Amino acid sequence: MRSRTPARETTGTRIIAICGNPNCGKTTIFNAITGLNQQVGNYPGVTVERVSGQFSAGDDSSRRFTLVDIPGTYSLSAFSPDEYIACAALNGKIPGEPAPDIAVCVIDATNLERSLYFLLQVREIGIPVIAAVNMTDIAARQGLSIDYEKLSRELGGLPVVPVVGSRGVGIDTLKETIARVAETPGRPDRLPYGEETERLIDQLRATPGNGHRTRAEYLRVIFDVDGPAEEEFRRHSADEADTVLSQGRKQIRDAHGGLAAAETSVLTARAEKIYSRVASSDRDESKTPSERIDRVLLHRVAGPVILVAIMVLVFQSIFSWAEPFMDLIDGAFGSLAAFVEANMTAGPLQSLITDGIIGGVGSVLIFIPQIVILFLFIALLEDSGYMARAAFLVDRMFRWCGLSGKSFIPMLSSFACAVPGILATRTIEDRKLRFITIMVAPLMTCSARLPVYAIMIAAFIPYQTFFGVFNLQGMVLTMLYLLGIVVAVLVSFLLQRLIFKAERGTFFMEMPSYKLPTARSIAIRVFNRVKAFVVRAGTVILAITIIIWALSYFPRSSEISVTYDQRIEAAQTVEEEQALVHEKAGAQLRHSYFARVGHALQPVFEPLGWDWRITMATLAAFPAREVIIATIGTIFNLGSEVDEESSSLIDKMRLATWEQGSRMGEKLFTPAVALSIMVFFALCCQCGATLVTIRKETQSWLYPVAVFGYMTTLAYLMSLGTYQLFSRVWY
Amino acid sequence: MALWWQYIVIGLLVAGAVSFLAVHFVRKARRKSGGCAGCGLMKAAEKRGGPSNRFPISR
Repeated sequence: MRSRTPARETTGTRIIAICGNPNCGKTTIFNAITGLNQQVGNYPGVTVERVSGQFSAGDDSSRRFTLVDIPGTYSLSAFSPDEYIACAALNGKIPGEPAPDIAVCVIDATNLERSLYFLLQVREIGIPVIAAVNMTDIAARQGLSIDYEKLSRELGGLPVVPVVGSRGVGIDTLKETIARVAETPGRPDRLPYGEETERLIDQLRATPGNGHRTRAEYLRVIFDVDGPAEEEFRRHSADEADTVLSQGRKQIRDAHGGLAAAETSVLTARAEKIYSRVASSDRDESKTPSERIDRVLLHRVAGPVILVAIMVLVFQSIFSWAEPFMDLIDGAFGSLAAFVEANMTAGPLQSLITDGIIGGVGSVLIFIPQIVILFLFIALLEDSGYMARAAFLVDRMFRWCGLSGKSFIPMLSSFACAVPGILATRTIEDRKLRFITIMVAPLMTCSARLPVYAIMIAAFIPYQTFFGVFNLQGMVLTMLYLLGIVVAVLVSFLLQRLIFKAERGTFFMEMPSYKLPTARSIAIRVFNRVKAFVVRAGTVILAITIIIWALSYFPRSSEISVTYDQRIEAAQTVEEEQALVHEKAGAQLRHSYFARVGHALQPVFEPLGWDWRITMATLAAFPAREVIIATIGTIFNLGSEVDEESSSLIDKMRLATWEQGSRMGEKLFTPAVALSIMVFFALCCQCGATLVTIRKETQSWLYPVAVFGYMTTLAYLMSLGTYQLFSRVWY
Repeated sequence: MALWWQYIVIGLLVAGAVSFLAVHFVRKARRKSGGCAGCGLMKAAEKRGGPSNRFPISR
């Protein structure tokens, strides 16, 4: 492990780290100080951007400094890549990076109390710190007055410089202060975290090979459970140190009611105290626009009603707005398939390209417009500040089932993808609560489920309008999203009561002010999601589609070919000939490996209303959900029962019939079957990446196996119930 | 059997698809970051969570 060596001792150049909370104007000040003299790169081994720049300061401006922009973070607790880099950079622990000589901590004057929390942590590192209080003009306009001299005294004489980064006000003073402070040694601040914490630091320091760490580093080892500091500590320590750490943490928990509480209560109390002494405000919080809006949106009754109404409107617009664009893409793929058919000799390769790749992967790519609309709304709701309100509203429901709002953030992330959602559970300190959240996070409706819902709803749920605003298709989609949330709440309740008996954490969340989202930010986020969707379709789904096509195409029966070719030759009319061609394709498909396995498994899924084709398409979708669309596309292209005029997949699904058994000739897909499939997909854990992530996060195969087992069983039973109920009332 | 070369192409494509999936899932399983650190969602999740739920000052 490297020791902390300031840059001036190694390179002769002084390194100034500029740090602060996200959106505190750090980059604006960085730009104001360095101008165009900047270099952009990455920190080694991670994708976190490293920006540095040079500037001169001092009496004759002859002294050169390098300013390094540290990623914005709210605390030094290191879990996310940005936080880890911020913490490691300030501690001088990044290989190849000299330790900073000074930290300039940018403070948001309009959010002084919150910013002080981070500043207090940075002071504990031991390097000289300068507080640059930014956006002082906005704070003044809001009626907030800050006594900067008093603030400096409260912080033990720490230099405080008021600045307005956007207009360059105070930047020269800041540069002069940097030049002056660069000559003085740092002194770590020691906040009292309680005797248990101090004792544990001493005990850890006394264990073999651990005497070189600073107090600030030990605080991170102790308070960041499973964080990189602990990981690094364990890697270099004997078992004895692990035992000391575990026992010491238990004592802190017993004394303070939790590990996080031991640290945050001290920091917040100090921040509150300083704030109350240095700041005075004549602003009336209840009269700010955000406060007025919140009175309605966070109202006990109106709030949840508005939340559900917004969800319904978002989901129904997914259908109504996307349709023309989807038709365009569908038409383009249809033309492409026709072009290939016209210019390529009929044979297996032509079938692979048209029935497999275009019919399969193309069927998935058609859903790009819906993905765009969904993520456009999610980005708008997040950037406007409404999502934080949604978290607050849902927190009430989570409290009822024993979870806290801390579980909401991972679950909210799971609406995009369960993998980051599960990783986000690292922020939950209570292990039992964390395990419960990990086990229910995959029930949230991720974006991979959307194409499945979209195709089933578009094909089998009628477009009916209620009250002139709401339509049935949007309502069904909303219900499917709510189904995931409601089942997650019930499962959490059961797990909490029967197995984990977790403590309930306290949820604190800052409500950001409402603001107009920027077009650039929205566009970037939507683009990233669409890119991820297209890349997935072009890689994993394409590969699976090729394999499924091969399994559905081979073996070819020469007996079927000879029999049907003779009949086709003998056909009297074009219609009869076309019918025989489709019949032949269907017979070959039923002869394939895929169909043989499907027929063997069909009895298990027949009570759900599924034939062998739906069964196999669903089973093939276990590695990735969207594969069901590609598989249905491939199967119905290979063994199509419809004429060429009805070329879309939805038409083929609507016209598909049972091929054998007592229901032969009956419609295969009905609204009840569509609902049964959607409920199965809503509840089943068909995602290899999610299971692998659960294994990694829990360090045990028990949890992924348990998640897969309970979700698949639940999906089967709920799907069975749905089909049995709706096939009787809505056929 | 004039289309014999098509069967070779298909065989290669299927073998390629199987190999790709095997490599893809094995790499995903071994990746330390959890499988999708590069897609930006984790960062978005952290951002969405504000102060990672560890900053206990509510307005």
